[in-house]
Amino acid sequence: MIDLSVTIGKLKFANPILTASGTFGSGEEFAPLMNLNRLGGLVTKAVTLEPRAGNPAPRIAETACGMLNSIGLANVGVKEFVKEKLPFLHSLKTRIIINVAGRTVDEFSSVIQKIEDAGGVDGYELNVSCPN
Amino acid sequence: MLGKGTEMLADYNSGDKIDFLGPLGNGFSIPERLDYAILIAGGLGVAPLLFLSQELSSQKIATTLFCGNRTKETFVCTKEFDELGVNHFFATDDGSSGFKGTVTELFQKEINNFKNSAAQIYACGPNPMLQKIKQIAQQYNMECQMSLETKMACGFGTCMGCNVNSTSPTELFKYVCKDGPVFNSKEIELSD
Repeated sequence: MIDLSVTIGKLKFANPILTASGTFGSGEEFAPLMNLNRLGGLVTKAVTLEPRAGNPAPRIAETACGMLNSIGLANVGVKEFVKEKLPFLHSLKTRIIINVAGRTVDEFSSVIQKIEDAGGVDGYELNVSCPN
Repeated sequence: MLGKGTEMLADYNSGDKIDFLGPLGNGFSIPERLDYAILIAGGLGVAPLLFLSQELSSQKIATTLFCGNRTKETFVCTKEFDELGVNHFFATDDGSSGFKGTVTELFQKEINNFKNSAAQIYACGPNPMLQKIKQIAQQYNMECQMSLETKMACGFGTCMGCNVNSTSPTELFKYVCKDGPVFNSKEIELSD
């Protein structure tokens, strides 16, 4: 068996395959389709302090070479995320990285603090550029 | 054939194996003891209504189809609906078959024969058509189910790309892939 493990900072991943935030929801949606523990890491869609409904339709447009999307960071907000989504993520063996979005430094740190207070995860990805 | 995916599917032969994910979302529902069904199709929106019509026929529920297209040549599945004994009204933009005008104008014109709060309307077609059917259903207090089409990236509720306006006070949007594609017309708003 080839050792595919990768270490970034203090974090060791079983392999270098991580899901890209925004493509994988909060992971649980894909559980019926694949063994999530095969992933090196699971990066969730952005979580914000308050729930966000997201942008009005249309949010997706097809282009000749791919797709444009403008979802608007739709998510249930950190309180609901901790209650409804975090327990499942804690049950996984793969590394869990939660993507966090906010408008101010305080919002970023509030989201992270609430997740830390609920047991924390392996790492956080700070969304400082993507509005989707 | 417009799409690369459709082209690939068309190249398959009978007996070939493919992977697929589904069925996704919900379908039309047939209430118990339904007496009468009115199917309203805009263009290729007729596609899911044929399967529904087969189910309605197996339950011996009387069915009428209103179907609109650009021109006579663009109608599909007429033979299949005839074989099911479905009463039909056609509308064409150019008047080459049936009523000259849209299917919603035709339905509005015939409404006095069909306004029956015990009947169920099933509609599928472009959003402006569905919005008009929603308004007619509301005006005559008729239950209406609508099957929506929209761009979908994932198809099962994770990309959040397929939102439609919700009429619920507790949520701004519903998602066509997982809450639909069939909605009760009272649940959603399709006007801009």
